[in-house]
Amino acid sequence: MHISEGILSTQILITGWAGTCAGVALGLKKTSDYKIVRTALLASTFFLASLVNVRIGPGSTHLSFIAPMGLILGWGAFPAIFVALLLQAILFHFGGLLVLGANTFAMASPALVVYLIFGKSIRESQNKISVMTLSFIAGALAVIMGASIAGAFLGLTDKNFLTAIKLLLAAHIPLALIEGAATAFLITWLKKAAPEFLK
Amino acid sequence: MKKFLLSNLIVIITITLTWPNMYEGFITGLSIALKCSVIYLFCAAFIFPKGLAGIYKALVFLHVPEKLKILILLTLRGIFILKERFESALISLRLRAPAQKNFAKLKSFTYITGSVLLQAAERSERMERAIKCRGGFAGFNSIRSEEVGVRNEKTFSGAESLLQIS
Repeated sequence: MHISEGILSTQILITGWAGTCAGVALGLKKTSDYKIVRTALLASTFFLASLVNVRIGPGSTHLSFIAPMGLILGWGAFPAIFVALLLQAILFHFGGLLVLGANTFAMASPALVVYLIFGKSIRESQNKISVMTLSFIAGALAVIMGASIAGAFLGLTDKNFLTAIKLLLAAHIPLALIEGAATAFLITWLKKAAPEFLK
Repeated sequence: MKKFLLSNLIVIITITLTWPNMYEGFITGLSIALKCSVIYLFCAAFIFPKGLAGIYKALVFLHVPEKLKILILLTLRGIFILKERFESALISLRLRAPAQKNFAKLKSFTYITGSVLLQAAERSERMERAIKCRGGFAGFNSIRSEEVGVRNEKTFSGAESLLQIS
């Protein structure tokens, strides 16, 4: 889902950075001083998990864990995703530094939206099947939303990207299903093994 | 470098094939790849060799909030701390169930992620206590130079927490 450097127009880059700065500032404000340590270590775990390739069917994919980050970290997901993408750009040269704002906005805002829509109902639900269903929808929705935002950035840069955007969205549908399943397994397991973790 | 060139090639091919006019698409793809290369070379020459210490100094220069700087440093440290645990868990998964495929493998992988998350949360609580005992975030990292200002307040808040613990 990383948008490469050099594709987006200056206006979109600035818009992405403005959205990211606002999200990161709010996220940091809502995270207490010492909770930063917890946010950092959880962000590291998600970072490591997202580097592992999981073989599914004929191909293999790496999970992004956007929805679990949102559901577990809440507002802290914005700074956590920003830092994870910054480290990916510096250590592995994925994405880039100029496009970091747009990439962070495209990945962190779905995490936040998923947290705001599904967070409370997942926390309060005692039924395993409903937790699994809600988590699956949250995971799949986060990926589709992320791809849609990335597509919107491309479309606003140049209307000729339309076919590429359709291709991008189509490629993310199987990913959304896999991500939804992974989110459902993870959240159901956490709810069973450490219910206080999601509070 | 190979990965970078490959990603540029993919960008050029994708844009050429999806653009309404193929020739225009090729030129657009080429210009994007060139822009990307220039930005990458700039970063490779001036930013990446600075390492973490240099990037931290740049963040200080840009007046990035203290919490964000600490988050960056701790996340990087966390990656090195948790990498070993993650790898050993993955090796044990491979040894215990080498024939696992598709969704069974995905399920096991997410459970491993969950257990590492719990270990990370536990570790973060210990780190929080250790940081409080050492005087808060003020004396947090050797990269940071001594400065008068906000961090002194944090030293005092750390000392206060230490008194509360004792």
